[in-house]
Amino acid sequence: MKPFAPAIDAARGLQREVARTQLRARRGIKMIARRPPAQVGMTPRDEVWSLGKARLWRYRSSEVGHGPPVMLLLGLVGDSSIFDLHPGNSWAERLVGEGFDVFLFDWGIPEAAEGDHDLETYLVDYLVPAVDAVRRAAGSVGVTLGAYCMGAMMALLLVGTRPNVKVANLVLFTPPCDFEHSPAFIRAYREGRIDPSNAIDETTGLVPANAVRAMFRLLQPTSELVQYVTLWEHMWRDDFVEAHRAVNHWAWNHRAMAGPAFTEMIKKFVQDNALMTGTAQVGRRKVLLNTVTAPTMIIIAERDEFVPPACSEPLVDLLGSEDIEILRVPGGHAGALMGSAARRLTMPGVVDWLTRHARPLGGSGQ
Amino acid sequence: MARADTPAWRRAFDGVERRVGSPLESATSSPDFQVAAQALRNAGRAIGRPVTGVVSWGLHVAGLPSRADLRALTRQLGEVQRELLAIRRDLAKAGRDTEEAE
Repeated sequence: MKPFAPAIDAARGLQREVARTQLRARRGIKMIARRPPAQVGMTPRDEVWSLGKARLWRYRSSEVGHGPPVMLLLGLVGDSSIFDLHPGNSWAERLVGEGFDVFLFDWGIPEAAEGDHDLETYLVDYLVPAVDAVRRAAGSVGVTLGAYCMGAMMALLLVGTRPNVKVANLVLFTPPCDFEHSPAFIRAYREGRIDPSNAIDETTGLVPANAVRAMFRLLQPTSELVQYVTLWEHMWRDDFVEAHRAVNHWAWNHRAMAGPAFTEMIKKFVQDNALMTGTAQVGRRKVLLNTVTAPTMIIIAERDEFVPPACSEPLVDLLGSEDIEILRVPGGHAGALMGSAARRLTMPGVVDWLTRHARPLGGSGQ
Repeated sequence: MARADTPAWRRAFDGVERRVGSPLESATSSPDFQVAAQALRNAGRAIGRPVTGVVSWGLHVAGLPSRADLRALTRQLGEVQRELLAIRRDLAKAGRDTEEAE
């Protein structure tokens, strides 16, 4: 028995904390003084298509082993960098490493020029030609769409309204569908107590980025503070700061949203729950999810605070595909796509599914 | 669950955050809070309108453009940009249709 052991341990802990705090202070000053931009999107890529502010990149790869090409996309209010966040935590890097031909689509940051865009404009004028551009660049008949959150909903609206768009496989990360189980922060919209037009800036026709950010902040008002405290705690570690800044860059880099698209999203899909009631329409076309027969993988985050599991689950019954797999991962909305749970579970699960649904190159790609 | 090497200050912070954060989340993400926040924003706009009017008048007397003028100009510029972008989209679509026809 060592009577002084607890005191010695406490002294060691204090000494370690003092040393770490010195490092934290030095790095903190350096960060504040230099303010270097977050290092995201580091995987080598080339722009292969653009229209207005929308961009399509193809990741460089010398060893594309199988098709169809994988096209990754996000919703209208998020930065597509979540798919290529940080070396070692990048979907693009991982998929390229696994021999896929990987493309990343980004809707662009809207300005007044995009203030009149509705969902149909986004789908028909941007997404359809981008899918075609992927097919042309890869020389493939079909494309695997890998889409996250609202991007997954956009992908569903696309395939549900346009069966001629050659989508071979769907990988839907946390797709929203049943807004009966909508996250709390849009419940006031769902109940019709706030008119979506209140959020739109009449000068630009956009829901400003800070209004979008505020909506997300309401759900976790202390999350920004927690992130800063976490940064301070781990700032002494060499590897932590860059990774943290990349994640933080994505998490708070919300974009404005075109007013007509926002209004349509709220009125049709959130308030009327149109995907569930079968009344969904984009432009004049009905969204026929039962005609979607492409093999589909649905990734559900068990503790998703934005798209609760019950919001995604009904898709299994609504889609016409006979090949649907659900991958459930622990953690929250963003954790399903990045972070340790994503690296341990989501990435290997998706890669395995894609590999099982891949075709040797030179095949039909469908 | 805290790791063994989590510093005491972090454990204390997490404890407080858990106690404060959870009720705060429930409050801020409730529809009532959002409706109240919207009402506050609307009230702010309503109160600000006469003030902005007076400031605009003062700026105009001094021969300077007001915020409202800049917004009107931005709106007009936005409309021109929209028309240009619509033409670009139509051209791109026509190009694709031609390619498909060939």
